[in-house]
Amino acid sequence: MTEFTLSNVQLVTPDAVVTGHISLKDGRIHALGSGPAKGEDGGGDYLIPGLVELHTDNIEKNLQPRPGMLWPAPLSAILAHDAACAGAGITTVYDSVSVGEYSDAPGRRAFLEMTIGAVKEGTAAKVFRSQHFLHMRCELPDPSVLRLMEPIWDEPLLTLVSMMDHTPGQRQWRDMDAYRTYLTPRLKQGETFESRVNDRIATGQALAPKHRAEILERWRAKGKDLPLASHDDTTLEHVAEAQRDGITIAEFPTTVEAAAALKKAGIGVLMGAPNVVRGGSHSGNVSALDLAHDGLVDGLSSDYAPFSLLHAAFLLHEKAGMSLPEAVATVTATPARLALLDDRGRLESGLRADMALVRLYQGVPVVRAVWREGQRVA
Amino acid sequence: MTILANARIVTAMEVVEGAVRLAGSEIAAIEPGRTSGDVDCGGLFLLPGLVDLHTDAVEKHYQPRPNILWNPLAAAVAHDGEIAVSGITTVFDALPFGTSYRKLERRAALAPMLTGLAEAERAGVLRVQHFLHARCEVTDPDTISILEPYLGDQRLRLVTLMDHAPGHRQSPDILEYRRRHLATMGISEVEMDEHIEAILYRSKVLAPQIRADLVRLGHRHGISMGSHDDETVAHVDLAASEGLAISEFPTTMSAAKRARAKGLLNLMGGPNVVRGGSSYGNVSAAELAQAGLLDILASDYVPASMLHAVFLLGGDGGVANLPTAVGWATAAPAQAAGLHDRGRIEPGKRADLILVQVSGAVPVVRASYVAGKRVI
Repeated sequence: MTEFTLSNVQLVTPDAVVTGHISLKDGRIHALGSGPAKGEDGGGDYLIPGLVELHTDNIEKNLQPRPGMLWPAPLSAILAHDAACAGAGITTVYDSVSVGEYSDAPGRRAFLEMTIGAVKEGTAAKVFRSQHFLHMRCELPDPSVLRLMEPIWDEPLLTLVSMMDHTPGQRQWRDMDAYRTYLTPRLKQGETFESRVNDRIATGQALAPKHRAEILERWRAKGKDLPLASHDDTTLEHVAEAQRDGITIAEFPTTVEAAAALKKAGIGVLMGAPNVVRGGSHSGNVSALDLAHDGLVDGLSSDYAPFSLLHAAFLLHEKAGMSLPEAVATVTATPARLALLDDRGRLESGLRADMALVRLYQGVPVVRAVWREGQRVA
Repeated sequence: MTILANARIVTAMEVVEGAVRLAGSEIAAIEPGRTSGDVDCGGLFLLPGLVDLHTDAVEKHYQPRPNILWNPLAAAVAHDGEIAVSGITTVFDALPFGTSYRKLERRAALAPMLTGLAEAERAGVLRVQHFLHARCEVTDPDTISILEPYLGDQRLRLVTLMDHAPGHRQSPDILEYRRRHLATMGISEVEMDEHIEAILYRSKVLAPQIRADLVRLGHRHGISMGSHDDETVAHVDLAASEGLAISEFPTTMSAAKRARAKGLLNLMGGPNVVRGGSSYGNVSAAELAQAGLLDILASDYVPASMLHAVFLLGGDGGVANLPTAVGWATAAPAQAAGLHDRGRIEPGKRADLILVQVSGAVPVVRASYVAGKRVI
């Protein structure tokens, strides 16, 4: 089917919510207008652009369905992840893959090759419902980060890199009590909390700056204007560093101070959707809803729960004083813009027909149908 | 009236090229050779929708990270979506009614999860049909009181009896159990030893009566029942004497043989097939299939594993032909659960159908119909 019209929907456009219809042609949005038209009945539900997800860890759960177990069929695991994304209304997804380990989660390194291989395989075989890109999360203090990245730089699906530093005492782990709670059950025999922390700090100081410079150079060599993300910015120094390095996306800043400075610097502030849905950060950092209230949130990311993304957008509308088009933009137009994808993210004629039909039930948005490039995928 | 044409239709006996004609929510006819209709299936496989008697996936959605509990309705909808794209059209959500290690959070999660599923069903937003599988832990004295309020619930169609004490069944080696659970349960060695002592006591002293009470309640309410992790001939004989219908995840070849002899159906997990063996070193599902002892496949803890297992066992180089392997995931579980209206592509059956592409390494669900309505 190359032409298709959906009528009786509440179109969430960049400016307004309009009861009307939309027609698609050859995978693109052909036209949209108010009032009814001949076509499939959308049941009066919201029609929003397909969601654009810049940072999801959801693959890990599927590749490791039980602790310590690696699933032997990576493509099958990625397909399950893909389906979860599509079912959550996400039509463009950046699979974030840890390069280097900051925790003791075994096998993160093994995930790397399996994930990249399966994402490439599924993309080539055209079996994915959502469009997948790769987002490499480079852990700067890890001694092996450059070696692990070496074979990946030229991968065409790699279009986003973020630099993270989970050294204790700063950023996500500036609250040492929270870190102690996190780390204590993970300590190895003969190791104390203090010995681990000292060890991590020494490694971080020795390696992170060097790795940062090298990664910047490689990324700029790949493409001068490619998007680049920082992670867990906490202080004004972090923001200044981000500005200096040409960072365009700030993932999950942990303080109001950092978020405000990032916003002022024109860096896109991305907050975790689970943080919005749960009403706070799981590691005791700033609440995304509070930031949104202050106008400091540009976009949202589902982090570890794909279905949180849409839910969070509607909560921003309900609780943070955003209009519905503004709230929906945090999961569609804005992440698309931050990722430099100018062909999607809005209901506008000529753009990709990536869309989700959504019904609100008891305040929870339920995805009724999803189209990617005009094809129904969920 | 919808006609799904140009499909490779997997019936109970063979694979037929042609069309399936639907009338409302039912299958009206199979029309061999027909290549045009309302939907062009592009030569893909058309299977009965899978009937999954055991998925643990609900809990993962309700608790996406340790200690993080989600909105139950949102979790139910997300779970349902994952099940639907896995090719499952009837799912038995297996939830713990009582637990071997008394984690309060896991118990407290039961009611919200069931409420979330009920709410989602009431709102008409679920894609597939959900039933409830009560996993009753016979070492937990509270199991009966947790189960009782749900005995009249129309969703409750399957009860399995499990005993997760180490030293038998799933974990015959106590030291291995201790090591494995120390790594995952987040308790100290002292607490672990106390736990092991307590559960061994409960398994030996309390479980027989709890088990007998559960069996009586299940029969009284006409619920299909199964025994979990049967290891020995004695385990199977006990289940048979109790009138149970299913042996879920038998751990040895001898238990599976005995189950067959006693008329119990052997149910194995998709992950076991895909991974080429059990996570606990127990008998492999493929071995059982090879020996002709496999009856039912379930998705266990990975929804996508069920369809994958069907094609591993019934595809090229598999141990069975495709209709047989498909039957393990459709007709057999439907029948075991007393759902006689589904599980086969036959006139008069519910139009629960999935369209499957098998071009690469893994099967991919391209479309799914539940009672004649397209849900994927």
